[in-house]
Amino acid sequence: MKSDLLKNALLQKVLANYQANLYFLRKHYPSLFEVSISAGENLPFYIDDDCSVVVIGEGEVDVLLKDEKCFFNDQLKKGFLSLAAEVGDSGVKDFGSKIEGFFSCTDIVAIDNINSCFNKQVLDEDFQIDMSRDGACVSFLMGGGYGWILNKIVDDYSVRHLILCESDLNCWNNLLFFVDLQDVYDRFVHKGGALSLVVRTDEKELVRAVSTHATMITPPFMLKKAPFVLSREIDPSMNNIFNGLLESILHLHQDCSSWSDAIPGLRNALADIKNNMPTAGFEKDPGGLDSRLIFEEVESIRVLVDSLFSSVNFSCVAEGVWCLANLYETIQERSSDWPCVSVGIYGSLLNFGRVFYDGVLKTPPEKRLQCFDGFKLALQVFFDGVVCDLNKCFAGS
Amino acid sequence: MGIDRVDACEQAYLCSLKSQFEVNLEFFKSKIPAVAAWIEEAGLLDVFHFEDGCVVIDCVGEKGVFLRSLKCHYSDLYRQGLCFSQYTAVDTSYLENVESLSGHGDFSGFFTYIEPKARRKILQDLKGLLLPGDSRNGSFNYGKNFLPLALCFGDEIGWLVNKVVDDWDVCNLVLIFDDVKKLYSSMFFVDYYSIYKKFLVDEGSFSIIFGQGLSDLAVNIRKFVWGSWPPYILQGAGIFFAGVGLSGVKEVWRSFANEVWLLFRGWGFIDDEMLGLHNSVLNSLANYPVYKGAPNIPEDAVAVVVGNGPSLDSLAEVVRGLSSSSIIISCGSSITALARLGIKPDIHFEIERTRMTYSLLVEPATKSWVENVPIVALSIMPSGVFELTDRPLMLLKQTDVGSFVCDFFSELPRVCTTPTCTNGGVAFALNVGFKKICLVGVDFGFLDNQYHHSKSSIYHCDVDNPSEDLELIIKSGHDQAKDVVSVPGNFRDIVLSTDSFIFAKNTMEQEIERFPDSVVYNMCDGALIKGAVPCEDVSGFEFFSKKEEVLNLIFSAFSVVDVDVKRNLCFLRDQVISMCDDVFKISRRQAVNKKEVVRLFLSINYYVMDPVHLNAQISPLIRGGFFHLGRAFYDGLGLIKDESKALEFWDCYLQVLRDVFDGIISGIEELIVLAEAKKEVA
Repeated sequence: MKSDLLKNALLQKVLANYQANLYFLRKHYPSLFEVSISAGENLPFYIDDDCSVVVIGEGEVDVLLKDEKCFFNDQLKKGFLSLAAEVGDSGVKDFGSKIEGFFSCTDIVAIDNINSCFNKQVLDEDFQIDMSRDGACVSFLMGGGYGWILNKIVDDYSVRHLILCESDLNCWNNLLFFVDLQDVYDRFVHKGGALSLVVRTDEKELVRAVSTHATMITPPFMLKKAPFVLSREIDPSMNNIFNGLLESILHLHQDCSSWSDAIPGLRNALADIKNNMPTAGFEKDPGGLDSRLIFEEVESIRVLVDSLFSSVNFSCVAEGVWCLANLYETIQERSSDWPCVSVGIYGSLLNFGRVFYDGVLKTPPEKRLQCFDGFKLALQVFFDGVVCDLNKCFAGS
Repeated sequence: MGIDRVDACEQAYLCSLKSQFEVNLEFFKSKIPAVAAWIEEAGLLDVFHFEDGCVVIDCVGEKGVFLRSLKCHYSDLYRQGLCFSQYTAVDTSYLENVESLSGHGDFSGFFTYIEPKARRKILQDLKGLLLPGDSRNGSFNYGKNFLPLALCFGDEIGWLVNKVVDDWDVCNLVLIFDDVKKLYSSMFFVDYYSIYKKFLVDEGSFSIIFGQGLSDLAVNIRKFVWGSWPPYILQGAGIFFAGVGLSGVKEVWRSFANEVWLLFRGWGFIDDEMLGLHNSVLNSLANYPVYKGAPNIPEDAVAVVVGNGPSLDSLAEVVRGLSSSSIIISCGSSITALARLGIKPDIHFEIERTRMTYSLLVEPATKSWVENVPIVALSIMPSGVFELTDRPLMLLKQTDVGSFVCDFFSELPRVCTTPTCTNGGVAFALNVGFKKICLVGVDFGFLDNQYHHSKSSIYHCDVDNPSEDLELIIKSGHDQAKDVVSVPGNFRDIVLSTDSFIFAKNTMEQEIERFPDSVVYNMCDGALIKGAVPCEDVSGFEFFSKKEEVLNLIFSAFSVVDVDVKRNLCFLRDQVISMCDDVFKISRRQAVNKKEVVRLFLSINYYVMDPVHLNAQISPLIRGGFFHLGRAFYDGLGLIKDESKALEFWDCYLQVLRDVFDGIISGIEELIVLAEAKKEVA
């Protein structure tokens, strides 16, 4: 009799959890809600006489806590979780040929300054960073299992953007019965994270959707070493998705145009304006380039950088890295406020970030604080250089 | 729960939380009914509500706390290591000193010499394995992230318990709740049933200890540990705590830690039990009358239990005055004081099985005084004790293997007489059926540690030509009074006491509690005894006048029984052989690392502490030894850093166990031969 009551209560609980998750999806992930309600018509589990929840074809969910935990720990031991997105180092970008022709050495000075933060005493080539624990900007969760890993990541890892990639609709459907998505979501968001749920049954489509999403939420260089967390044994499908995403990240990890590229354009534009030539990009400003506005744009970006960096505790890597990500997000969002200089400066900042990030990945935690300080200083010098470049431009025009 | 203004999503979430609560409640009802009863007694509580789409816990502080905030806060504490500490229950300096584990001098007064040898062997093996110094852990470590016992203070949301289960490999998990609201609230957020099943699969245990008052909770924890595991499992146990009300947690733990040493007392040891067994064989064959059950003692009959505390001196005249109208029961060494005070007890009571009891009673002034006093003593007494009186009366002690020689199937009553003679005297008076009992000289303390016993007793009087044993007894009495602690007094705020006295006092309190129909009057200016009524004046008492009638009723409760000593000894021997076989069947599985060693070791202990085996006749013989040896092994194992050395230590321990079992079996066989020989002579 008691067993029947417990059995019934268990059934009610799993169903109520499923329903709560559907409501949650409808509110926060409406498109995924549509996908979810179409998945599976039959209950994927039953409750046996021993009051154990048995997932059909999967074994006992009852002992899942243990199973998932063991599996996850095994993956850690095997080094699966360190199978992060591996991308080669940036090194020092070769600006040499450009300097001579275009007179700006602001970028190269900044790069030099950043590189000097990571002198030989600081860098440790053998150091293996665990981004998932140290503060990954993006982490890819390959399948959600029954939710144990989601809780684990929220509690134990410092991840800014967690992207759950699921290609198996049945697995996704199972997850909805056993994980408390509302709780996971709440806690993750409260800790400053963002949870993305991408469910596609087509592998290529999944890779494309995840890649697109990743580029929208982070500067591409921060995808380097992004951790891939596996919720189940790797199968051919998961392998394809992993390789597809890795290729995509490699493709994204390219050099960007920089301030040094922008300066000649600006100088040419000034010359064109002076000669009453039509100037691309300045059509909206028939009065020509107003030097005061351009200096204000630069100052505005510099103030933004200073303000974002001033309140950050750089001894905490996660906070430092996330702040960096935040900087790029903000500049991109506000690019329309700085029509003249944002493209060039943003490009340079991306290049600097990439060099800096490469260094951070090889720097033991106790030495990172001084590197962050060096990076801040390098940016200040860069902005001084930008102002200097602009002065030269306007003086020349 | 504030469901009026919730949207559909919140409504669904609320249903989900409620259904989790129902699962937990049904689980508790079916598996841990006491917890379910605690919850149901509390009635329906409002523990959370929704506010701007968030779950707000109502019972945490005045303003409430968002569930997610609380979880993130706990998560941060946990990551910073602020939720966990590792417990050291008692110090392990004894591991450094081989001799400290094998007291009792040369054991010349004992029948066997099994346990000191075994203890010494374990320590010697450990010493060898812990060399050189870098092979030693700084604190107890039984494997990476592995905890044989974890005690987790429950909170409102249960986040911590899930983390403990997730992050640690725990054999036995105990949740502690100091407030029903916390457990009630957590039932919405934690799947206790799933956690229980996990431990079921792993052959571990999941338990909940609860209590509303902080000190009661500490006592409950102690009782639970005592009833569930060998106490040394507390060494290196993980203590987890987080949440609001941490000061309460600290208080519970401080209260528990202050008295944890009580768990490490009263274990008994093999050779002591074997000595009792030996004495019991001789006494059973002597056919002394045995206590068979409470006579119908008149309601107003009064027993005066006399101990040897300092208050006996000031109350001597009171005792003398009461002697005509009440039954005076002298206990242990108080007889040496009464002999000098010229007060004749009606009954003298003894419990100590070593030859010291005899040595004390044959002290010249005492011997002549006691010879016509009926002696009620345990069956495990040195046989000479019963020969000192013209009316020997035998009592069977609870939880003592010696009692089973006389009565294998527990058909006769047993009395809890430990740990001191006065405990025994009071327990005897209660069991016999006295409804009024006065305590005199039962001080469990003193005002001045130079004056720790009655000044009329051997401890403070000159004794002519004391025997070696008597000198030892006197010296030990003085030594024990050196380390003192303060405890609440019976007539004053504080008196001095010792660990041994506190342990004895606590045991007496439990015994008094078992007899709610009897009133115990404490006349002593000593320690406060809970359950006993402080009483400075007995002049208002109405005393039963027919003292002889009461005494005869008591004597009538003793009669000679037909005992088959040899058969009972054979039964005991066969039980030991079976247990030995079982233990080595359990340990047969090959351990490959320290963690598995611990699991095997605990399996053996679970076997010994299984209720079926705890109720077996040989349990008192085995358990104490297993505790002592197990403690030395477990403490030592926790300190060994190297895995291969841990395995080596395990092999050493198994060999020690083998030797111990062999020693016990051959000891019993020797007693069988002795019993046969005595019977033939008779």
